[in-house]
Amino acid sequence: MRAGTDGAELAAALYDQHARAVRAVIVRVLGPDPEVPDLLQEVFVEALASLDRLEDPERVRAWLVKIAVHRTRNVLRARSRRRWFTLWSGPGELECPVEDSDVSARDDVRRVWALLEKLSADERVALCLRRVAGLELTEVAQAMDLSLATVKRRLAKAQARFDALCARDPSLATRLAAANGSTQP
Amino acid sequence: MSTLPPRRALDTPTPLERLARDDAPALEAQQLAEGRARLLRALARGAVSARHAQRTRERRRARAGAMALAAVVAAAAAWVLMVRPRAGRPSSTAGVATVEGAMRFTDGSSVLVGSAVLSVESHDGHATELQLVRGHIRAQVVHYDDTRWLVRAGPFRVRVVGTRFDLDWDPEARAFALTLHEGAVVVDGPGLEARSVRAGEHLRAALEHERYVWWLSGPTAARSTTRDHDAAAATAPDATAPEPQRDERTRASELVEPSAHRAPSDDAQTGAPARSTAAIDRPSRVAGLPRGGDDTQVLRVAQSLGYASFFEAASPTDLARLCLALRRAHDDARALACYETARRRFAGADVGVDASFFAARIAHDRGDLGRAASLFAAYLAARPAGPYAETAAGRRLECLAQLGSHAALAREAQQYLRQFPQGAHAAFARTHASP
Repeated sequence: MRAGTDGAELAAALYDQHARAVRAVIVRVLGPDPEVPDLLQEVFVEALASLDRLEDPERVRAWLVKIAVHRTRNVLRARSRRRWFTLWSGPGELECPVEDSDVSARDDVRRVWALLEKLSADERVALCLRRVAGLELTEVAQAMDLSLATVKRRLAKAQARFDALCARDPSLATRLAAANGSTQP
Repeated sequence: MSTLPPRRALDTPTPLERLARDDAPALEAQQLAEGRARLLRALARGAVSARHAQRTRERRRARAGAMALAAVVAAAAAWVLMVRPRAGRPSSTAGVATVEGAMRFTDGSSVLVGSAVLSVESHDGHATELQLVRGHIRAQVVHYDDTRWLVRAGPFRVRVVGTRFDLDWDPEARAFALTLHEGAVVVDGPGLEARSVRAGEHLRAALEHERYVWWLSGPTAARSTTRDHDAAAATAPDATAPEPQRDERTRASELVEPSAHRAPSDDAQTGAPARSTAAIDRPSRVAGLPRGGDDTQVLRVAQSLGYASFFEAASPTDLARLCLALRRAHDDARALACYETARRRFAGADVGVDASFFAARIAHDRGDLGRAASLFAAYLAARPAGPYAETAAGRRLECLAQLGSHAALAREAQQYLRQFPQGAHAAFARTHASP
């Protein structure tokens, strides 16, 4: 990124280089959500507006991911508040974006996203970053601006809560049991 | 304390791991493109500057200073308002800019963009290519013998020699309008090839019954073209003209009122026929849902016509698209009505049969177990080995269990196990297979 170059070029270059990774984080936490393009835009606007806070230019991607996580968590919190006060049911059905020959699996994916709605924003973000996006614990901690110990505690709690929710869903319980090598749902 | 999952079968993803695989390249590309366009629009609006100013105020309250780099960012955002003019011809200035205001090109040409969405596809010393995504632009192009200017608007191409013109493109209404103030351009589009338009002429095109109909007005055209509707229609391409480039799913019967067409602004110098333009104005009609539109656009179009009317007029594809949008919007009542219409209008066809499944799913999720069970049964009767059969059969088992229909549950659980021994509901079915 060269100072003095055209602002659009700067933004476009930054976006083109990192948008895919940023989107991956957002989608892994938020799901197939219609707000993804908006969030992408907000993350990069935020990043461009606070370039002066970037301490290590070599870590641009991690910095963008941190902003993305922060923004996504805010969206989840806002939705949670909205749901609480207005009985709003969510952003719309989380329709799986691709056709899949395993239709029941697609149905399960939809159910899993619905279950994740029942976790707190912090739990969901931690769980999804670790288990869906596949970040390392240290990366999750950095992205969430938390200590490693806090992240571990939060993940354990989120995992237990999610597993309990899964157990109440016959289809997901079966899948979970199969994945865990158990014969019991 | 470990947060890793317990030992598991490696071939079988956990439900959470399954989410990681749940992505589609097409969706990714679409969202990335949308995000990019929105980012550039936000930059053009000065969003970076505004956000930065907000941050600066916040930080001032906390501590003073730390504004130098931010000023660079603000200046960079301001740059978006124009493509930077340079001395002489540029060697290369390519990229996409979505701006409000004016764009000045190094060859001396300029485009007033206003609130239009305009993309600079390419711009170098010899060729400039713009894509008008939507809205109104006013262009003044400086002519050079060795340069080529092209503005695309939907399926239309305006080849510019050296001129001053207004161009409108409304992708939802599929309405095209060109007013030429000076010089000459050549327009290509569906049903019309290399049509020259000269100063003072006004060319419009709108979609009617799957074909673009053209109107030409102005000093020369007025002599040969009456401006009443019939005469205007007579200027339409003949029946053998190529189809406009659009989705095959649209049908003439799917009539949706377009969004308001923005008339070109008057220009006293050219005598551009503002009144004549008005005289040839008439409500144009556009078929089908916007191609590639998101749910919001789909719902807006359907709402503009009236859901009930749209349900009855839409093609199978558009009706399915609208039902999906309604379902995603959690407008369950309308989604159910939509699916019921699809079942009635397209009984036996995939859209109609699938509608049974989706309606059943909504009914199930709403706790209308009897209705859900009946709809799942309808789907299974029509498509016993269909793509949703396993889910339908499984969910029907859940319904029967909750309804207390033990005999039917046992019978269908056995049938489920025969048909889907490894199905998602197999464990559930096993527990209910014995009467």
